[in-house]
Order: sequence, then structure tokens, then C-alpha cells
Amino acid sequence: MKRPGAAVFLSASARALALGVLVVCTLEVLGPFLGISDTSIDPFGTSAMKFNSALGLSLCAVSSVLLSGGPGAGRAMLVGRALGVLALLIGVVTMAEYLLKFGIGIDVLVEPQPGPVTGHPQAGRMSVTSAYCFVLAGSALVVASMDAKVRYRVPVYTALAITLFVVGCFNVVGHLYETPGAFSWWTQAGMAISSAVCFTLFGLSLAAIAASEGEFIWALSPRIAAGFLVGVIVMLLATGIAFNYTVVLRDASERVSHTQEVLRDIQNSRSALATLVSNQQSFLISGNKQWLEQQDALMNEIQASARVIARLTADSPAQQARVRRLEPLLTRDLEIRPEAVAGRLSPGPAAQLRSDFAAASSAAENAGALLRAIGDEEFSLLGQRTQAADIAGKTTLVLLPLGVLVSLTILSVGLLVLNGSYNDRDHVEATARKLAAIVESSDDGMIGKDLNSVITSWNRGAETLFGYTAQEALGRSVMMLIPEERKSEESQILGRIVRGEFVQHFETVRVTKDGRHIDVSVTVSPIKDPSGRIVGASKVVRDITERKRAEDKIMDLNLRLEERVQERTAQLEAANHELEAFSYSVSHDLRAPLRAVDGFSQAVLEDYGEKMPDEGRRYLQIIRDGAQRMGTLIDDLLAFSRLSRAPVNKRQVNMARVVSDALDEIGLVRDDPKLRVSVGPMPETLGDPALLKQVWVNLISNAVKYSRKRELQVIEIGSQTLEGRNVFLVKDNGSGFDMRYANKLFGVFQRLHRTEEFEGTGVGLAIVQRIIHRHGGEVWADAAVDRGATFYFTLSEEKST
Amino acid sequence: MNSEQQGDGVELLIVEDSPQDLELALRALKKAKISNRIHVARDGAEAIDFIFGGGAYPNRRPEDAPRLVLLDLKLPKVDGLEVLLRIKSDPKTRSIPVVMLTSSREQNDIVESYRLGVNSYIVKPVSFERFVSAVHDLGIYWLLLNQAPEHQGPGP
Repeated sequence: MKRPGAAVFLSASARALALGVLVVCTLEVLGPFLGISDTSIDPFGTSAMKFNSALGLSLCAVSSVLLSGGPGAGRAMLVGRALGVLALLIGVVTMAEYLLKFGIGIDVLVEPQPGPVTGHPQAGRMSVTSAYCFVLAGSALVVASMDAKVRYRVPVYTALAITLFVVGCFNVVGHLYETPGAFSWWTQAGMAISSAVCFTLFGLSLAAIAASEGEFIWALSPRIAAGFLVGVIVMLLATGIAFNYTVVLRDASERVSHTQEVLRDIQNSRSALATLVSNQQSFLISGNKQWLEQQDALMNEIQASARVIARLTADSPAQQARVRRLEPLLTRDLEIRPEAVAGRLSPGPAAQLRSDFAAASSAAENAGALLRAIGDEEFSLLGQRTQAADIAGKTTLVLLPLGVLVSLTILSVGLLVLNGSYNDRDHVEATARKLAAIVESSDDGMIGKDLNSVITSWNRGAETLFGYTAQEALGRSVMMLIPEERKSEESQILGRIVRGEFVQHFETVRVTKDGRHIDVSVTVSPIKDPSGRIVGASKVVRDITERKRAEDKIMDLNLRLEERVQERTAQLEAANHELEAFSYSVSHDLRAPLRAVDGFSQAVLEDYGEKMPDEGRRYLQIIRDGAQRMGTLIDDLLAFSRLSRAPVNKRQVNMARVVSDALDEIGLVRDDPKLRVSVGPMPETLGDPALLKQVWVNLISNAVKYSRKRELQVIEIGSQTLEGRNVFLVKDNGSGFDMRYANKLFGVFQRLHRTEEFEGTGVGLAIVQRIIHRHGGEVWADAAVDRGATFYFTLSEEKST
Repeated sequence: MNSEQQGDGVELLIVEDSPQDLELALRALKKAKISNRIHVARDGAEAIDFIFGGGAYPNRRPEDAPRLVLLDLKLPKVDGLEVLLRIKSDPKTRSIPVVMLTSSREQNDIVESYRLGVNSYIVKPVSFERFVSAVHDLGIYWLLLNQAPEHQGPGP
């Protein structure tokens, strides 16, 4: 079960809210025992939470904590459901009590003192609204604790939780505006403020659990969530302000009508007072008792108005003070007593009457003044209140559409964002489908497994490779694919996976359904959940049986090749031995007869030369020359053949020194005025110094030999760079040669000049070429008849500077 | 040629199988005025017999060794290198100067000869004049100039 950060946060919030509920309920229940007064918990001092409400809410809270772990925690779910059922029962029973008008009195049974709550129709019993809320809460908990696969489970309990939250909110607001019953059903008595708060919190807690379960939360980016939160806050703010102003408007209207009533009553009192006084005057003048007939009625009217005024101005202390001063004036002072009336009717002293009248008049005057003052005050209040009402009305007029507008905007933005995220999700789903298709169609076996080695996914490649279908493989252990002797590999691989490492191209053997062993290359990578925890591994298995076979074949071929090479090497070695024996024989035996030819010719010349004609001596000399020449040929040929066999010992060579040694060996007369030899700068190079010296000796002595006939022999020795390679050269101004025969230059015994012209055996350049080739280089010449020749050579490119 | 069959007081032993080469060598020695007390062995076995006693030379003792041995490499029966090995591995004969006089320029032969303790290695030139001059030089050097130990006893 993947539970990313948002879901974890939401479950934690749900738990915190439920715990808050639990704390409030505990305080409410234990309050009486601990001596905590209700008012310390309930600042509004309305009605306290009933004991069974507290019990029910505690059950709900515990259930909510249990369910906040998400579906899957089996035992917690069961307990949570049981608690939910209990809460539901409490609600249902209480509602039944109200409806059917009976009382089983569980409250009385448990609670020590059935609440001395005033103004409550059913003392000690929770309100109908609370009962209704318990029905909602219990049902929500039961639905929430159902199996995760039940359809509409989440939407249903989400709706129940939100309803609960809204009802709780209304009740809290009702308390805030001192009309606890305003949002209650059936009866005027609302639930306690603490119950309302608890139901609100509990509703939120359930909603949080629902949200944590909702898959869309996982896909919700923090930015969208924050935007949503801001939107909700703005909406609540707008609604709250509008609500507040509506209440203010209602208050203001009420006050305006109060004031108007007060003003009307003042008007009445004053006119009654005026009538009273003028009637008294008329009686005084006329003595007609008729004028006093309405006196009592008028007094009553005045006093009734005064009472109304007193009631309606109860909120203003200044007005109250005036009312208090008014009250005594409106009693007997205003009246003309019967004795005084009798005095007027009977002749006699009229002093009594006059003083009564005077007192009444002054009382009336005072009362009139006070009434006027009250009226003036009320009038100014009327102005203020009308203005306040006006402002409240106008504000409400502005705020209501504004609130609607804001709500509409948030809704639209929400809709757009959701639409976008749905499009994104479509895109993501399309991509996922594409990837799934790729995985499915891959020839490689792709296997998902959890950390217990249980197979969680199985593609077609795996099916082909191992022979198990997806149905057969899913849920089983990957161990079934591993041969007995390699079982330990799995724990090693898992160990590396758990550490977050990858296993790449691990070559091993696996076993198929029909028991075949196949060579495979396995790549295993960890699978992480969105919070980065490693929850399993993905495994790509490639069949390398074919490759192995090819490798074996190559190895076999290599082995055979090696054998053949050894065979050939042996043959070559044998041939080499034969060649050596041959050379040896040539060297040793071929020259012996030559020595005899030369030696005995010489002996004849010495012993019998005087007895011989000149011609005979010349012939003998020719015989000797031939023999000696053949000796040289044999020597050169042997040297050449030796070169082919001698090893090349390459090392860093100072070419300038090699050239200098070669010049020494040739033994040129350095200060010969006929000969000018120049040596250019030479780079260091890699080669066998002895063999390279031989090259220079041969090339330079050739240059000297073939330029011999010049008056001034000019020989240049040097090096140049050609296409990044070092090229060494020897240039002379000698007789040169025809480039048409250049291909014959380096052949053994190949000569481009007659021996009478230039002596030589035709082996020198062959030796040069052999040495250069053995160094991996090239040698070539550039010449023209009578225009000199230049010989170039390069050595192997490696490490040349 | 072989004035002293038993080889008493022989100063020079030539080991040579080719009659022509032998004749030329003797002619060259004669020209170089080194012709006295020369003994010739025609193969390696004979040379060993002559030096160590045995075969045709039962009375010969290693102590009566010649002052110089001219040794060809390629010989019938026992080849030159083996003769050299025998001479140089015996303390009694080790100090006899041995000069290889051969046609072979093979590096292997030269290296091997020196490893076995040869005192000189001379390649027979084709030209007779040069041969004469070479024989002359080595005779002068080894027989006249070189100071050998007085009496060959057991070596150190």
C-alpha cells in the first residue's frame, strides 16, 4: 500500500482531530468529578454536553483513530466498526425516545446528577440534533470500516462526514450568534457548544481519512493543494463576513423598529399627559366633574407606554436612568385626588385643590420634559441605527454577490486545474499504457517482485522464457526459477536491492517450468514508492543461451586456432632450423672449395708462374677473382639471411649518434675536399640501433660509391616530416638510376649497374629493406639517370617523436 | 709431413678434415715460417686421442700437450666444439691455447666457442693471401709472443 506524504499527513491530521474530540469529551465527563465547572469548559455558559453525548463522541473518536491507518489493518478495522455501531445505536435509540416519547433513562442511570439544566425540555438527555449527528457519525464509521473493495464506500462516508461537519458548524455558529436553537431541528433546544465543536472536529477527522484514502490526493501536487486550501479559506471568509453582516443588518433593523416603537410610545405618553393636564385645567375652571372621568384611563395609558419604553430602552443606561426618574412622576403626583375634587365641588377652602393641581401640573411638566429627552435620545439613536442598518445592508449587498463571485472564480479555476490534471493524467496514462505495451512485448523477461521474493508482475517475455503463464507465476516465489545449487543468489541479490544498489548483467543459470536450465543475464533494480522507500525489485532477464553457445564456439575455435598456430609455429621453427642448417652448410662448405680454387691458383702462380705465358697467368688471376667474388657473394647472402632470423631489439634511439657511428664505420676521410657530407638534425626514434646503423652504412656507402665519379661528391643525410611521420633520407649527386627499374632496387642480387662500373653484390639494399620492414617501416627511392638518387625510409609509427 | 709420429715435442696441432684446406694451411704456415713440429689430426676423435692418449696414440700424455691447437669446427666423428670442450674442461689441458680456424661466420658458433673457452676465432678467408697473412699473424702471436705457463700441471 503506497502512502505518500499527503496521505500520511492527512491521516495524522485525522488522528489529531479525533484526539482533540477525545480530550474535550473526557473533560466534559470528568468535569463534575474533578470539580471543574461547566462554564470553564463552555465559555458560552449555555447547556453542558450530556454524558451519553460525551460517551458516544469518545467512541467515535477512538474509532476514527483506528480507521486513520487506512484499510488493511484488519483488527483495527473490526474494532473501529464495532465502536461505530455503538455510536449509531446511541443516536438511533435517542431519536426513538424523542419520536415515540418514552425514556429508557440510560443517562440517569450513568450520570450521578441528572443535569440541573434549565430551559431544556429533556433534562439530562441529549438534544435531537446530537442524536441525529450520532446517526450520521455511526453510519459513516460503519461504512468507512467496510472492505476497501466495496463500491462507493469512500464517497458515501465522505458525504456523511461532510454533512456532520456542516451540521456541527451550523450549531457552533448558532452559539456564536446566541441563537442555539436557530439551527436545530424539531425543538428549540440545540446541542451544547462543546458537542457542536466535537461533531465539527469529528466530521473533519473523517473527511481527512477519506481524503487520505482518495487516490486523487496522491496525484495532487502541493501547489494545487495549497491553491485549493487558499480557495476554501477565501470562500469561508467571504461567507463568514456576509453572514456576520446579515446578522448585523437583522439586529439593526430590529433596533430601528424598537426605536420607532419607543418614539411612538413617547408620543402617546406625551399626548396623554397633555390631555390629562388640559382636562384637569378644564375641571378647575368649570368644576364640571366630567373632565376628570378619563383621568384613570389616561394614567393607565401613560404608565403602559412608560413600561414599554422602559423595556425597549433596556440596552441604554442613560435612557434607563431617565426612565427611573420618570416612573415616580407618573404615579400619584399626576392625579388630582378625590378630596381635592370634592373641595372644588363644595364651596369651601380650595387650598387642597390648588396645591394638588399645582403638583400635578409640575409633575406633568417634568414628565413631559423627561419624555422629550428620552424621545430626543431615541431619535438620535434612530439616526445612528438607521445609518448602521444602511451600512450593513449595503455591505451585505456588496458582499453577497462578491462571495458568490469569488466562489464561482474558485470553482472555475478548480475546474480548469482539475481538467488540466485529468488531461495530464490522460497523458500519463497513455504513456503508462505505451510503456506497459513495451514491457509486455519485450523479448526480455521482465519480472516484478516484492521484498519477500513474491512475483508481482510477469510479462510475456518472462512467459516465453520460463514457460509459466502470468496467472501461474503471480503470487509465487521467484525461488521456483532458481536451480537448487544457486538458491543463495536470491538473498544476495535482495540484500543489494534493499541497500538501494543495482545488480547489472549478472550472468547465471535459471530453470524453466519444464526443468530446462537456461543461461541468463539478469539486471535487477529497486522499485521505490513515491516516498522513496524500497518496496520491491524489477528484474530484466535476458536469455543468453544463444550467446553462450556462440561464445563457447568462439572459444572452441580459438582453441583450435591456437593449436593450428602452434602447429604452424612448429613447422616454421623446423623450417627455420633447416634453413639455419642450410646456411651453416653454405657458410662452411661452400667456401671451402672456393678457398681451394683461390689458394691453388695462387700456388700455381707462385710455384709455376715463371714457366707460364702471361695469358696463362691472367686466366689464373681471373679464376682467383671469380672465387673471391663468389666468397663475397656468399658472405653477403649469409648476412642477409642472418638478418631475417635475428631478433629486433627496439629501444629509444638517438639517430644522430647512429648516423655518426655509421660514418665512422664506413671510414670516410672527413676532410676529403672531393667529398661533402652534411648531416641534418635527427629526431629520436624507436628501433634496434645495431640494425639501424647497418641501414645507414649501406645507404651512405652506396651514396659514396655511386657519386664517386663526380668532381665534388655531395651527400646529404637528414630527416623530414611527411604526413606526421619522420622520414629519414640519404641524398647523393651521383649517377642515379632510371626510375623504371626502381621496383628492382631492393631485390636480392638485383643490380642496376654493371660490376665494371660499380662493384657490388646487390645485397646491400635488400638488407636495408629487410631491416626497415622488420621495423614496420617503409623504404623507397627517388632518382633520375645522372641526376643523383635519394633514398628515404620511415620506421614504425609507434612512439616516434 | 708427420716427422714425429708419436708427436714428441709437437708445438702445433692442426685438426683439419679437408685435404685441400690442410694443404693450403700447411703452405701458409710454411710461408709464415712455422713449419716445424706440426702434427695433423684428420678428425675430432684423432685430435682427442692425440692430446689425451689412446687410440692411435696410446703413449701420449696430456702433459705433453702441443703449444697451440688450430681447430676446425666441422669435423667427422667428433666435431670441433666437442674437442674444444674436452680440452677446456680438463685442468691438465685447459691452458693449451686453442684457435678456431673455420669457414663459419655463424654467430652461434662464435658465441659457443668463446663460451667454451676458445682463445681465438678466425674465419678462413677465401683469398689465399689473406689466409696466409692470418696464419702468419696467429703463429707469430701464439707461438712466439704469447707466454705460456712453464709446465702444464694440474690446474687450479
